[in-house]
Amino acid sequence: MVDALVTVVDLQKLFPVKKGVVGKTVAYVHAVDGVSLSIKKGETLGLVGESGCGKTTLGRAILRLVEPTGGKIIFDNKDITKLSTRELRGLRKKLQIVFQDPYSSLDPRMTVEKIVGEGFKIHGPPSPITKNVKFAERERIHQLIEQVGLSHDHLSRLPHEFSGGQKQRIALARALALDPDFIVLDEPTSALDVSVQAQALNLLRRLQAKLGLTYLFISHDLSVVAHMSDRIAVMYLGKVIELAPTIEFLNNAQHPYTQALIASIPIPDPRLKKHRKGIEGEVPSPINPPKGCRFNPRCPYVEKLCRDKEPPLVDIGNGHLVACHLKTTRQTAPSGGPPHQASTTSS
Amino acid sequence: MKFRQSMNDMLASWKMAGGAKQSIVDIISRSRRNAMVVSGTTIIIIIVSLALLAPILPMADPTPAQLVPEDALLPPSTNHWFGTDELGRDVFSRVIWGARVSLTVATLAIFFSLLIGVMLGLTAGYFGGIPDYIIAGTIDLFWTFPSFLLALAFAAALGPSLGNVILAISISYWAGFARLMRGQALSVRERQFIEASRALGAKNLRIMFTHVLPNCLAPLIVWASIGVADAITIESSLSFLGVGTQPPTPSWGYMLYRGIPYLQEAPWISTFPGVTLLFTILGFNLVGDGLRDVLDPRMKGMRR
Amino acid sequence: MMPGRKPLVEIKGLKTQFLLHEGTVTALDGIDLTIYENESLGIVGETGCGKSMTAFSMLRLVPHPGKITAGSIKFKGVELTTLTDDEMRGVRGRQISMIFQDPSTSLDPVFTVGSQLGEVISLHQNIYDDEVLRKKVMAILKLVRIAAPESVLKQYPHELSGGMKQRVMIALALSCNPSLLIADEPTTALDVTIQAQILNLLKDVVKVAGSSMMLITHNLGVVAETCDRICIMYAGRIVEIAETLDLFGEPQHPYTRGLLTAFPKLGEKKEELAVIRGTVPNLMKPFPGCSFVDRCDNATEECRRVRPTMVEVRPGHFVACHLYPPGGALRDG
Repeated sequence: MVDALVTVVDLQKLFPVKKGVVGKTVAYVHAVDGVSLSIKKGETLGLVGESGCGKTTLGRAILRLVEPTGGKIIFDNKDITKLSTRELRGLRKKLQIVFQDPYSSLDPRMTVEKIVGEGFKIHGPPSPITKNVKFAERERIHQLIEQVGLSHDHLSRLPHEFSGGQKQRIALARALALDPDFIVLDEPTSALDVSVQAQALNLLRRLQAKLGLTYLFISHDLSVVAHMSDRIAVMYLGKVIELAPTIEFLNNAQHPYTQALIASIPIPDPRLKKHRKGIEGEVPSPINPPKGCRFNPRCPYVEKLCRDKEPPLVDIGNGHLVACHLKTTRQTAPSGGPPHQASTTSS
Repeated sequence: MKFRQSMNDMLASWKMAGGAKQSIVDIISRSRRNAMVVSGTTIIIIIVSLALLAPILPMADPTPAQLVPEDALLPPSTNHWFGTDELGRDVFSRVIWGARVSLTVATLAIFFSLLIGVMLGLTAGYFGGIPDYIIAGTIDLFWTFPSFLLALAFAAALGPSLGNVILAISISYWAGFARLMRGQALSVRERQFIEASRALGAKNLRIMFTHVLPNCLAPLIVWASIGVADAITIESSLSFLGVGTQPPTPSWGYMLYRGIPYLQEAPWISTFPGVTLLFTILGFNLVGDGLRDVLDPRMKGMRR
Repeated sequence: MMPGRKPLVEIKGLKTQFLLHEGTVTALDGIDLTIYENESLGIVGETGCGKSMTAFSMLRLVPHPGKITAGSIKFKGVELTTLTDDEMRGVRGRQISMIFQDPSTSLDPVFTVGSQLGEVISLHQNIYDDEVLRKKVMAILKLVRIAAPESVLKQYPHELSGGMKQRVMIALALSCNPSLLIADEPTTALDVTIQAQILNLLKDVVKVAGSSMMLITHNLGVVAETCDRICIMYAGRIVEIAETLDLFGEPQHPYTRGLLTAFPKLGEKKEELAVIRGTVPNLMKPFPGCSFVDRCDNATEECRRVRPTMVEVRPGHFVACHLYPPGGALRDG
């Protein structure tokens, strides 16, 4: 993609499982197992999946907060996978993250002012320096606080004096302090109440428009992701199994897992009382992923091919990618229409 | 049950909404309501004040150049509040001056222990890996020796003197602080605000001292207080055995020892230093225990 | 009151407060609620609204320094607030059981699933024959749709997934045939696909057992699918109660309406979510009027001074809001 800000190619992160007194590695957790995708400048890419799918690890790996065990990360046309810690440090200004748990992502012993301003202590004061360094920092911190909807008298307070929603605003101000281009939002509203979540999501959108930010929005809540994202990617056991623009995604989900995911969401509308069948079985562990298509033990349409060969991520038109044998090998017309849908979705 | 934890969170958030802060102001106000802290602090203030003011208090000379043997073994009276010892010296004065010795030794010893222990524990806990392996191993080595015996061995080997006593206690005590610090650092480094700092580009040193250390202080303060009590005991024990503070410098331990042959006829020689020692140790222990309750009720049940 | 239906639990004027050094927190401020036999009632609200506290008060599990300071809770005609501890123990687990959000902390990690289930059943049903016990445990595991119950019997809690643990919890809770099952955010910690399974299970199992269920959650979607009636709580008070279809179709209280629009709905791509401005009030500060007054677009002076009473605006649909004064004269709102 020409105007891609962030691209990952075959990104892999395996965590060794050590057992025994000596700490022998007996297996690997396939947290992220060969993921390739691009995020365009200014867009919000949503990343959904259930526990163990690797979405959180992927977000951290892009920022190199965990070191990938394979693959490449390209930021602004520069390969940052192997950059040294020192070279990476400068780059950190451009790539930031907001974490899920507002209660533990802020140092309880630091005032809001210190938390938001920490970036300046590491990278130097924000330009332009008008009167002096301290003044410049103060100015910028005040500006950031206002931007996230908090007030000046919050600056001297400690984190525990704030509600969850306010804590997330502080975390957001901290991330924005260094003028980043790209922010990974790791379940930023999952710990918040519905009404607070709405405020936070609106704020994120406004800031994106105003500052030209690019977001990777990670969440297990598909409704929230669908509201915020331009495109949505679904992960399962370390791999991306579907990726499409939001409207296409919601109306025309192809992968059986995606369809089940959409069907499983509780909808606040009792008239649509679907008899949700959902999927049987448990979410498997990423330590020994199944052979072939990783979803095959739970897939209602599983065939022999699915158990033998892992399906590749294929473009089926409209910017829609799917990794499923059934939906890609039966593609008829090259006009890009969605492939023949089998005994489809739960109604 | 899980609801107890969520209940605690709810209670905490209500308290916050009601204006409670975890700032110093709040800690002080909660401490004032804690009986242990109040009583312990009172005792400490009394002893420390007396010790500090010793040179200007109108007392007898604790180590007179000229001994007056006729004054020996006098019972407590208005002239000698605590009586006199076997050499005719005023026991009260010696007890107060002995406090200076005990407190100085204990405070300095704990200070050095803290310094070493915190540095090593922080490094081990934060970095993990090889540094942790080495440091943790060393901690365990020193940890297994009862601190008193270790101090005894060092004092005996290095020769009895005030400086050596301080050194001996420090060498045996640092392991406790290091262990505590290491455990704290291990758990704090997993918290998300540490990762957030890394995401901002912070260097390890910065994270260690700006983020990890301040968040580990609470149990350290508690332990330091109890440590001072422990150190006073060790110093007294060493002096009792003759390898600590040397005469004629007054030391509670030594005074206890010297008073043993006279327990029947002049019990005040041992009793008063003994009781003062008891109260001093009690005071520091009370403050430590009380602070533990104030700073973090979840720390209840922590023992050395 | 709904004619023709037998009430199981009748709560009147329930007030639960916490006496803290910093002040008194009124977690529940005069709750009136009835749960009927054979129904699923959903209690919905955000953090701090008192939904969990209602359940704890019913079971007299309010932790120190909280206590029930006023009101009555009648269960099958028996007043629960005046029972002795022993009598209360007979109610908990047997007549009213509860399952919590995080099953990991409710199961004892050193005993197998089979032995924990067996212990509960034998205690409550006075069965001591091993063979009979085993059969009962197997039956109940099958009831909660656990595949391969023979092997699960021998497993320890940490070997089970979140969904499985929650099924075991449900089994434990239902093992004594309680008349009321309280589920406090039972699926919040589970993955969405498992959530669907567990909710379906709860619905079916409760119906089969003939029990009533009180489902506590912050998620409107969950109650839409699982409950017959829904009760909305805000700041320790009940603001609206209605049958499910009615609540979603014709929400009356401004807070309920706000909640419904703040929920991002799949397929509705809006630019901005409609928010309820402001924040939840401080439960330590008593408010004489309506607790929603600072966040309500329809607020008036009366709302600030006088607390609204629950009024039946449609059959079976109750609201506490000055937009709907008693007497039926609806204001423009």
